[in-house]
Amino acid sequence: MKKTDNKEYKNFAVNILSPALNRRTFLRGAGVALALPFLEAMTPNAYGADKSTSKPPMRMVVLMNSLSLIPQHFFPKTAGYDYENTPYLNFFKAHRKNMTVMSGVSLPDVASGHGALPCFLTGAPHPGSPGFRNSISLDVLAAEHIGEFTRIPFMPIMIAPSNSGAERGEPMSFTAAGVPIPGETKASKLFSRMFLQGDKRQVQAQITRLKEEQSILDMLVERTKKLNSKISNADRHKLDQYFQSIRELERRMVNIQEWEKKPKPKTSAKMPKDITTFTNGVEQHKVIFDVMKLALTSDSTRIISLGIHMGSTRQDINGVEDGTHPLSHHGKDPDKMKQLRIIEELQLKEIAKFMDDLQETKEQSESLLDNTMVMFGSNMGDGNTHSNVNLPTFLAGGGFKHGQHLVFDTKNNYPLTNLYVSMLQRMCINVDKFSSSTGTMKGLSV
Amino acid sequence: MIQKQRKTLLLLIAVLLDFAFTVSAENKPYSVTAAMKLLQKSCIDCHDEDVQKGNLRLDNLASVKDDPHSMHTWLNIYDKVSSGEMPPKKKAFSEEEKKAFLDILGPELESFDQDKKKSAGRVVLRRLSASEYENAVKDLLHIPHIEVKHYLPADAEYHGIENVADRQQIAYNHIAMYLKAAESSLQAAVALRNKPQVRPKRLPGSRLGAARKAFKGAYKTIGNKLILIKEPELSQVSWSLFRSPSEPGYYKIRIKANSAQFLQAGFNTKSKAEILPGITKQTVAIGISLGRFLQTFDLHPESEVQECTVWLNGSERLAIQCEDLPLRISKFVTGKKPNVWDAVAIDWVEIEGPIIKEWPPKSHKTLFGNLQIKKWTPSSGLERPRDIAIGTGENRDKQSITKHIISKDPKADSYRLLHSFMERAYRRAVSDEEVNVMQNRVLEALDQKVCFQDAMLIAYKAILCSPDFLYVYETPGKLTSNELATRLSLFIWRSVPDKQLTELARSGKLNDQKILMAEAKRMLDDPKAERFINDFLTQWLDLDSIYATVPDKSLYPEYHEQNLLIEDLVKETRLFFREMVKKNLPIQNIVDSNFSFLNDRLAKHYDLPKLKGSEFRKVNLPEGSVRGGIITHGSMMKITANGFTTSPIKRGIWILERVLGTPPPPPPPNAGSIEPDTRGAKTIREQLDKHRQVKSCANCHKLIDPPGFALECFDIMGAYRKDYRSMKVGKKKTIDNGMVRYHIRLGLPVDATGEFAGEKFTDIHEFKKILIKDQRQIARNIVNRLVTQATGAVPTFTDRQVIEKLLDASEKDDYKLKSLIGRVLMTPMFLEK
Repeated sequence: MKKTDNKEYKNFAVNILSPALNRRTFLRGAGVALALPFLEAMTPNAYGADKSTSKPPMRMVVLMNSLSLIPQHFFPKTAGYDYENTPYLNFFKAHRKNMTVMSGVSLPDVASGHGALPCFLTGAPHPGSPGFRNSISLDVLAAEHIGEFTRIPFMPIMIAPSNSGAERGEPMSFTAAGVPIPGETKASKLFSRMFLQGDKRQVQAQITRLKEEQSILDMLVERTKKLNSKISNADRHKLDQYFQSIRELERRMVNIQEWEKKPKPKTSAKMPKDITTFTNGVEQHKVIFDVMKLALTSDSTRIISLGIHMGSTRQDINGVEDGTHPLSHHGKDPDKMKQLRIIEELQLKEIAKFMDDLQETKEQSESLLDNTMVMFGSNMGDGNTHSNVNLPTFLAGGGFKHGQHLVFDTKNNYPLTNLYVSMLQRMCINVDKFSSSTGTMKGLSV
Repeated sequence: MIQKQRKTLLLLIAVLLDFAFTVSAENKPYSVTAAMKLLQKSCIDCHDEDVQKGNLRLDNLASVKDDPHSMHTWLNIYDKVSSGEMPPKKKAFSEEEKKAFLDILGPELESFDQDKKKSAGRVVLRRLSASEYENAVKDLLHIPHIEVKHYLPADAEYHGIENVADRQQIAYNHIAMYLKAAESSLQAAVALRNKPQVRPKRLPGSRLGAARKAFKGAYKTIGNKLILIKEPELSQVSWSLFRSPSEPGYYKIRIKANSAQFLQAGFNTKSKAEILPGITKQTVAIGISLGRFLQTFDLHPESEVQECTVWLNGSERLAIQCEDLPLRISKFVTGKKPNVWDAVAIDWVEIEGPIIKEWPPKSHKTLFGNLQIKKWTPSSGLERPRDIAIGTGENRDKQSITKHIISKDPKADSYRLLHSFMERAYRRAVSDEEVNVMQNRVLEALDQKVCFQDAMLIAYKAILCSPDFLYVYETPGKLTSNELATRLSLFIWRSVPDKQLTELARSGKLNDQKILMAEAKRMLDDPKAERFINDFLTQWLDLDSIYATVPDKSLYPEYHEQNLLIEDLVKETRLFFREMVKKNLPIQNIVDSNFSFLNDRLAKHYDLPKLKGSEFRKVNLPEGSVRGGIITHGSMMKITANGFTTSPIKRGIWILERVLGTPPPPPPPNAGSIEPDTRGAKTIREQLDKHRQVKSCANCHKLIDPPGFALECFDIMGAYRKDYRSMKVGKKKTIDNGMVRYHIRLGLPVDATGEFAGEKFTDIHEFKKILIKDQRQIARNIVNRLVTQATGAVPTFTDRQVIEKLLDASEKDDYKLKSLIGRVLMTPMFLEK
């Protein structure tokens, strides 16, 4: 993975990710899109014309902590419904009945320490090997199916409080061709996209630009067709991929234009203040979680993936003297582990707070958390050893039957991708396999 | 079990038979069944569906014909058997068996490879990499500096190389980004605004950002001077100066400052403060907040004016970094006597620019020639001109444009401008028809009352997103003169050809090897060749990853937040490699050399004779120095370490992969890893010894660990060491760097002995001597990488013979680097698709 700081790219990537291949009708005319459910009323908390009959949609939120968690503070020693509490899970006490903790899960054939990060949501095997090619990630796949229903088809976000280029966070969202889509780091930009309504002239200029770009794509299509007859078979395969990419973007642009014409929802929330200092990573959690909550309540998106990359910068926290990444290499030094625990606990507190907020937000007769799957995980099982097995994992909300600690073989792990299949199916996405999955998540049911 | 084996066997036969079909009877001294038996006997147990050692499965491996991607695996099998690495000792082939096996596989791979070369070429249709794209746009538009590379999704790498065609993937988000990058590059090129005013602006120290802004930081003003010191509880190293003008361009920055001593009873008291000349030199750096270093200055006790010329993207926040200020107060005396701080004192900073050679700039003229620019009014009947962003960086301001370009003959003007731009962008002659397609779009927009510049920009945008620009078209067989020109300029300039190269290409002369060589020489001497030097080096050594980890504050306090030192480490390697190219030095300099490039800071860091000043210079190393050669550069040691420990595994793999080009296979999935122990109880070597007693680990680790052990005598930043450092136990030691004292603990002694390539070594000197013996392999690795970067495809099976011949020819001149580059250009790998 190349370490680039794709700021501009991020913004646009989110904007353009949109309609799905399975919605053929969508392509035939822009007007059709408007007839789709949920698209009509874009005011917060309104998912259909008749609230009493239309059920709120299911959402998916994935949280990934790239430096993992100290395992012994997370994993309970006992299994089942009355599993013993652990220091880390204690933060989620209020949600105990509405979450499932998993141990002994990992991604089959995904190793190489930090190098496993790009595979966390894709499950693509053997990262780092010469022939490695990534595949579609969970969030992007979900967006292919339901992304068109919201202004922002899916929202990849990153918290990366680090000033070192290589640590500004690596993307975990990938297209089917294995092309990375980086996450947004600025809450203000997400907020603007959701709520900031440009003036008439700005909206018009944006629509004109999109129309022009569509005409450029048309020209490129024609040009590529011509070129196609002039090149060898082997090369044609490459050119065809370019051609398909143009076509795909054309399709998406139709949707973007439709959304551009629709007024944005209103919010009473203020524009968030981005925290750009690298030493306030935990504060960044707060700002990002707030904007995530707004995204869900305004139905601006139904899919969020948040990558948390604490990096090497020392956080401005009492009792913490070193950067999070160096601390994760604690070498079992109790003092370092103590410092790391302080950071991890502050992070988990923020996650718990986010879940509390979703729980308190009512949606018809349920809570927002009941209609939102919140999954927590990491690409590593232990930051100190860089192992990629026994990943700390839990799933909360989403209307599943929860409350257990599901224990799988810690020597011979159970595929995490099975959980992804369960999550996709919960969103009414008709798949029975995702990457290395062997079925749906054992022990997890609706 | 038996059934399963049978199934596996059947599959294997199918695979091999597919190969065997084309083997004619007279060429086939050994039968396929014999080879089959060999695989069955020695390989399948470990490489079936159940075990899959080393990620290799033979039972479902496709033939090359069915899946060209399997070539990689087949080559791997060939190499492992050929080198005797596989099958492992217990199941090893006899010499006869080995020959039989290779004699069946070899000719098959060869004939497949040659067929492919003939029909499709060794490289598939290649897309410009992100850096090539950025350079090309820069050169096409004549914008000296632009940052659009980061818009594009990162390409998959092959051993760090980013332009390998068959690894390139493209998706719709690329296209969206190409549109975006084209738009922002084009906007940076257009200049409809008035010629910017160039007035030097001087800010006295007391009016600089750091002094005016109420932020917590350690500064004082005395008169007009700004005094910067470092307070122990605030490890602030960077102070804001001012925001640069919105106009991007080259600016002169002047600073009058000195190294000083600041005297006051207490920092936050109102007692009388005094400023005295400093005792030591201070190096400070001017840069853009949170990122880009621009220039370093050495400040002396005497205040002097210093100047630099730098590119600014427009509206950027400039800052000064004073890392040499000691972290703790140097002579802290309590009581009534004044305390003394080392400080940086700034009299003033001045900015002058942008430096304008012509207006409108060349970039504008590239797109619009000398067409007249006039004020726009609604009465013109034309649509209002679109807003244009000023600047090339993150903080671009959108500017409302009320001027438009007047074309009296839009048809002729648009044709002329588009034609010349397209020829340069597409790197070939373009047909009328091609230009007409673009021109029609312009005319259509003009009909809709879009003003001339906006109409033209639509077409320019389309050109920069078109497959003709983004892809490198080559026809199988010998490359045309045009195709050669593009290949050559993408290789050496990482960009499109210039005028001279284009003219040679059009006249067909580039097919003359003498002319090709002369051009290559000219291009390597051009400043644009720095792009090749930098990109090759960065990709080869993964140089950017040096910023990935930060030295641990308690174990290595003297390195903590020493960003200038890290910059210096990188600079040494860049200058060294540059020298190897420019001076055509033998390849063995990678391992050892009698010179390096150093400044005062690095000389001190390396414990070499003192140097004065922070500018770099070529230095002859003393006899018996452990320095010399890239492999012991501090940059390399930093890249192969984390913030607090070094790993012989990481360094060993680095030598095998990056220096020798023979990477070991990845560890088995459940291998686990060594947990670093900084408590000081055990050395990493002791932990590894245990590791190597495990049979499954031993095979690879007896290759990996020894080069890593040899490099253990360098710490995480590349300083020479005899002992490890420890967190808890061990002898206390004080490091005094002249300004600050640090306390650390010494752990167990370093043992840098080992055995490599069958020879024992006791230290780094002896290790280098062993490694240098294999300079052909080191040269081979460099040539493989050169070939890959020059052509966009990794060397194939039949390329190997070509490369061996090239190496034979280079042996007598000790594999000189520039000559290797020249020789690569002469091979069919470069001259044919």
